[in-house]
Amino acid sequence: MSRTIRIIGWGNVGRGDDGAALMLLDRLAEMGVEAYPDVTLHAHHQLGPEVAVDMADAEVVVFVDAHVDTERAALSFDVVQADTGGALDSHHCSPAMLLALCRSMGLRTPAAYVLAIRAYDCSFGDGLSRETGELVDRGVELLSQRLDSWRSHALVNGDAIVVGA
Amino acid sequence: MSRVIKIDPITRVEGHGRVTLHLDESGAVERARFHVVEFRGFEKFCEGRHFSEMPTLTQRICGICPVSHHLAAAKAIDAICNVEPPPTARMLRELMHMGQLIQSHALSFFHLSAPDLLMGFDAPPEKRNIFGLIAEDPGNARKGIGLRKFGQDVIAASGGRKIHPDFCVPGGVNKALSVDERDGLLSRIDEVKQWAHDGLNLLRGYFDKEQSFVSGFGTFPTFYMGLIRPDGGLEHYDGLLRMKSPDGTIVEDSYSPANYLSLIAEATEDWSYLKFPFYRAAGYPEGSYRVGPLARLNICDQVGTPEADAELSYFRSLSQGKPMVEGSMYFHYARLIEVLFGIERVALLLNDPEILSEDLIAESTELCEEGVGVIEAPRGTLFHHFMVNDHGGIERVNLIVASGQNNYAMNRAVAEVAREHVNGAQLEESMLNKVEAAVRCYDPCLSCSTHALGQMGLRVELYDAERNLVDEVSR
Repeated sequence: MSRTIRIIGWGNVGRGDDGAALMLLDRLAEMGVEAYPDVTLHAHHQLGPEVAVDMADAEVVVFVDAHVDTERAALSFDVVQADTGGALDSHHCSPAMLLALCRSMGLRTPAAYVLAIRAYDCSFGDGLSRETGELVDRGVELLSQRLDSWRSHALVNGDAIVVGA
Repeated sequence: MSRVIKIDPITRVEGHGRVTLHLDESGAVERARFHVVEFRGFEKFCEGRHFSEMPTLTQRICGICPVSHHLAAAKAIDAICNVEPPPTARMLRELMHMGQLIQSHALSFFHLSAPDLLMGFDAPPEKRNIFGLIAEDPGNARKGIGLRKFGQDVIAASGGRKIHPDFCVPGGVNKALSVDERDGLLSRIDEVKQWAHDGLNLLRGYFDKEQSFVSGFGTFPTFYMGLIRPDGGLEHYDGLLRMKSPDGTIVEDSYSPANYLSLIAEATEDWSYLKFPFYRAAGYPEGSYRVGPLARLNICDQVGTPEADAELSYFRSLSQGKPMVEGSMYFHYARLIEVLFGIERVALLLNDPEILSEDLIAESTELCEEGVGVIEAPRGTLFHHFMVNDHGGIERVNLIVASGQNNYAMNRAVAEVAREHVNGAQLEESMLNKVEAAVRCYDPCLSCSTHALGQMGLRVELYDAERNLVDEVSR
């Protein structure tokens, strides 16, 4: 069964590893992922509330972001649920808030996941650290497998994958 | 016992800021200050880079208004190359700028400020947000998000992508607009224009209901500055500077933006990283001025598009007989008029066949020592000034952004609102929210104005007469 899948990445390529998600999107684009009619890639500097509108016609959304949490797995792929916590005090929304916005506005709320990539060096400058670059490689592989799975099999909600630190 | 209240960080604005309220022994506000506590020094980072990189470098200053920095820098490098972009390039740059204006203003009003107005300043803090707004008024919340999306889509269509486009190059732009992109945007004009009218009606209803509160909210005289067209009409991309005095007199007109250093200067205070620009001829602080939507509508003779011009007469009536509209809360109305203006300008630009031309770059072989680019960013006048060496390397950068130019006014608004609404003897959260709302009227981007990094929240601290911290609230 074909699904409408949106892959949404954000970050700043001018701050080293903070641009990991955008680099991953570039890699997927180079692989021709968008040639599939049901997959689109979306790059953002940050997530604004209007992203909720883009999500509403999708069945699956994958958010891709860099993280700096030393307690968290270096690469993780987790289900994300709608949550209104920390409601838009600034111009940035979290994935959970975007899902909550979809739900609050009566729009379709897609199944959503976060692919989080550990950022080791966010100092000024282009390019990724070796460690984050390797995680991006693994993230591309993981996401490719997922895309193949979603495009050909029924979606199983609630699953989570953690790839080692 | 006298006390000091600190609101730190302030919420629903961008960047880190803090408010301190000094109370006297009766609990009345004696003095108030709005501190900006971030520092980045972006101007220094740019030194040594090639001038042609500046449009892509400086848009990294801000995640909120990267387009404004991109365009101001582009104008500055045009000046360094002593080149005038072809008409289509100018139109496409303005198109992108209007997209930025629409999306920025829509988010500021509908998501950051409307919750206070529609749900009340004393509504529970956990309800005063976009989700509370959706529950209270789902139609207008959706329209706000729709306007924001339209503005973002205009930026993406003109620049090729929503974030950090490499659209502007010296002497022009590097992407033409396609027929499909033009027609796609044009097909949405009627709908988004109606949404802008709905927002204006919503705000007018609030003003009618809360006239006394609104008219006295952060109301004080200042100078006003911004760009205008040669005919006195509202201008955001190009034009000349005009300065009006508090009594409505035009004290500077048709002033070349390149000579801005003769017009304004910057004062500093030891309690803020944000400078205090002022009108040089009037001195500091007497010459403090405001920029942004309120200032632009105060200085212009007309808006220049029919539906926005019709709204201007109502805006002027808000002055209550004074020569200028002084109330900080009226920034919101001016902001929504500019959303309507932006949509009308988008339609005008897209309906001009010239917009599809592929004559996009003018060539130059000249290299000048310096260049100044000035535009009206959503929050107000934005100056980019670059000085280069013989090889085009950046030697010095001066950036003066809108939120900095409103620094004095934000301080004054905080003080006025605090004196009117804060009772230190019986402190309530809603009182402090009103103080924050005074800052939100200006929609400041503090990350941008101090060239800082981070997000903004709110903290309140109480000090006794001996300046000892006796209470603190954070959120």
